[in-house]
Amino acid sequence: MHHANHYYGHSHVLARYCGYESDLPLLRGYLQHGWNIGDGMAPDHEFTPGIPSFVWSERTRRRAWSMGRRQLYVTGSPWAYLVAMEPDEPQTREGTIYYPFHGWEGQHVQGDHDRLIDEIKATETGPVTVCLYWQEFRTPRVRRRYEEAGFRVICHGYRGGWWKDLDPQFLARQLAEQRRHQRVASNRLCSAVFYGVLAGCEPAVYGDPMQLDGEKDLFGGRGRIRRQWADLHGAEVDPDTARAITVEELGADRLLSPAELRHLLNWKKDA
Amino acid sequence: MTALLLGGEMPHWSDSSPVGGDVLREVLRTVGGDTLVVGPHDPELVAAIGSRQVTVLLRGALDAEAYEGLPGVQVCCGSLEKLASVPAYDTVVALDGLDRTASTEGADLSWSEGLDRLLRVLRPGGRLLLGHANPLGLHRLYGTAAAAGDADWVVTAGDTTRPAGLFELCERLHASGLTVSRDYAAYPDPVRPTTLLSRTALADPERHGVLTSALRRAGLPAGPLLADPRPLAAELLRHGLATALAPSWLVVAAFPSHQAPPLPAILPAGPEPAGRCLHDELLTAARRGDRPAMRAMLTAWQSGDAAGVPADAIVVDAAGRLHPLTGPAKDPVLHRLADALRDEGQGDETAELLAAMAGTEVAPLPVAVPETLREGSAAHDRLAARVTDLQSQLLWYESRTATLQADLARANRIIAVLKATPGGRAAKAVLDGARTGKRLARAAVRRIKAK
Repeated sequence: MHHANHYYGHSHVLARYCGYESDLPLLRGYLQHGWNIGDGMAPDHEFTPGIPSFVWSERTRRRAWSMGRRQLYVTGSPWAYLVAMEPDEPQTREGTIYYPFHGWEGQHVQGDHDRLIDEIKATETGPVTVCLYWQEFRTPRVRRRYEEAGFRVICHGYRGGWWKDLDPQFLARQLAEQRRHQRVASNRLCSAVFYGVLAGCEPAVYGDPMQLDGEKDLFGGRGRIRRQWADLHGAEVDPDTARAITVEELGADRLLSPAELRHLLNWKKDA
Repeated sequence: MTALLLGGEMPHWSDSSPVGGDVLREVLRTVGGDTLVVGPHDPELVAAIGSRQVTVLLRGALDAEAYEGLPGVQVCCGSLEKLASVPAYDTVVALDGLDRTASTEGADLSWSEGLDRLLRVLRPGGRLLLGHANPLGLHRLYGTAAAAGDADWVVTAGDTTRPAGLFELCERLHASGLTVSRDYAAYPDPVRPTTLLSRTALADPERHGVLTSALRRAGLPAGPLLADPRPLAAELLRHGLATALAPSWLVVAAFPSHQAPPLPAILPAGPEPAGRCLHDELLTAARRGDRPAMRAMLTAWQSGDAAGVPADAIVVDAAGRLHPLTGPAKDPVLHRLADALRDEGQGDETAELLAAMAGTEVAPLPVAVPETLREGSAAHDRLAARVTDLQSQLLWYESRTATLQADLARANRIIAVLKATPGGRAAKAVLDGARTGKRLARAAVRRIKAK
């Protein structure tokens, strides 16, 4: 229904959970595709009246309601469904996976990569994997800086856009990668950090938070994130607190049965 | 002025329709010392607070701007749970109650937990002014269906810690060590009350007239209504339900050693003559068909000094003397009484008839369209009956006209027949001759005059 539903293969994860093997059924509604502090959807998201929105958490539902949105359903995040479907095998976890804050298509980040690299080196004791957004991964200048610092540099893939180049395996790759690490970290609290916590990593948020060109602090912005989720900031974070917050933010305690989810997403059982 | 962010604030939010109005301003004039105002209050109310050390706690960051420029006012944004539990205030004002102190970002506090937060910031001897909306208030019972608004992200129904009445509210405060100095039933709207009636006043039979008048003159709650609640005023008092069915309650309570004198038992304060409300006395006489009593009261009212004061603002004492509670009204008072007689199901006396009974005269006015559903549907029924009546009258006139036309045609035919008989012709010749003679005579006179 909306191209953003398929970002990072989100709709594919839900389809798999609901028992669809290959063809992706048409999803009637809007899926929240990233953690945010507004109504769950991107600021430029267009809404068709009467089409439901599926948000990750009860907190997001309340906030979206207060912003005038209706037909809101808390489904939990696709990531939480994926983690539930892929039990964690016993494996050796080592080092830290670090996600430098990225812009999206058409956005440019201002900040000092070298200073960030120094902060990572000063904080992390084990090996470091840096996961770049596809744009930065394809920019040799940026990529080389992290490689020269001795970090392993990876990219989970392209999120897909406008129903093209969709990547149903994006989240599965991310989960497998995160489960190889002891820690997950970023210079801003973001989806990837929450994902890492649910994947069993200890989280950390530190380092120059960088800035997007012309970035507006919507809904209280970075200041509010640092105050409202203060417990998740710092080089060392209490894992139990982090887990409790993450379960709530990703709606991992709110997962629906396949039958209920199919009903909400308007997926017919034998489609 | 920059708002202090406590956490849990809603950056995009503004609470529409904050609590406000003149009578609450009167209450807040008595407030002194370091004061904390919790929840959405009209900036005019905050400006009325006697003290100049005022802190306002709001959940919506957008509302902070409204307090800019108020001297001595500091605005904090956040949810109630984030308020530091330090006894820093002499007075806590929460006239809007606790329902609009939680944010989408904070935890849901029960009503009782919310109250504890307020009490924890009060100094020894400190005073609390607390509002509490009544879900069974007349404004709800007479309200129409309304879709959930943006503020209803959760509905607090089912909170068993929430006091279910004014008595329970006072008991809860008492259990926390406070002494209640005033407990008011607030009418007609929880957000903008115009009248506060204490339980002491409501229990006093001497004040029946003043209380009925106050309830009648309180006005209507905001929003579309199923019916006008004002006609219930006297019955609410007689049945002891004015507190139970009040749209909201307001309590003034203090920790021991608080010194300030209590607020008046009825607000807005004014004269309190013993007796009955003239409006209801007139209605009762009309219902009983007691025309002589009606005539006597109307005459006494309209021939005296209070002729311009509405009947619902006059108290009649045991000796029949009239005590006006307000000045003259802008609206014509007899038309208002006639409307009330009609809307309250008593008779079809027009203002002109009431005036004749009182020995005066008034001109008719166009009928006003009622705003409430029941009165609107009654107006519709009256009009429908009137249309049926007029149709019957029209049919009667049509048949009467048809009869008259038939009679006329018959008469014309008789005349034509008579003209054709010899007698008729002779009569015509005489008449024609007479006309000719008259013409000749006039011509002769003209000629003579011309000479």
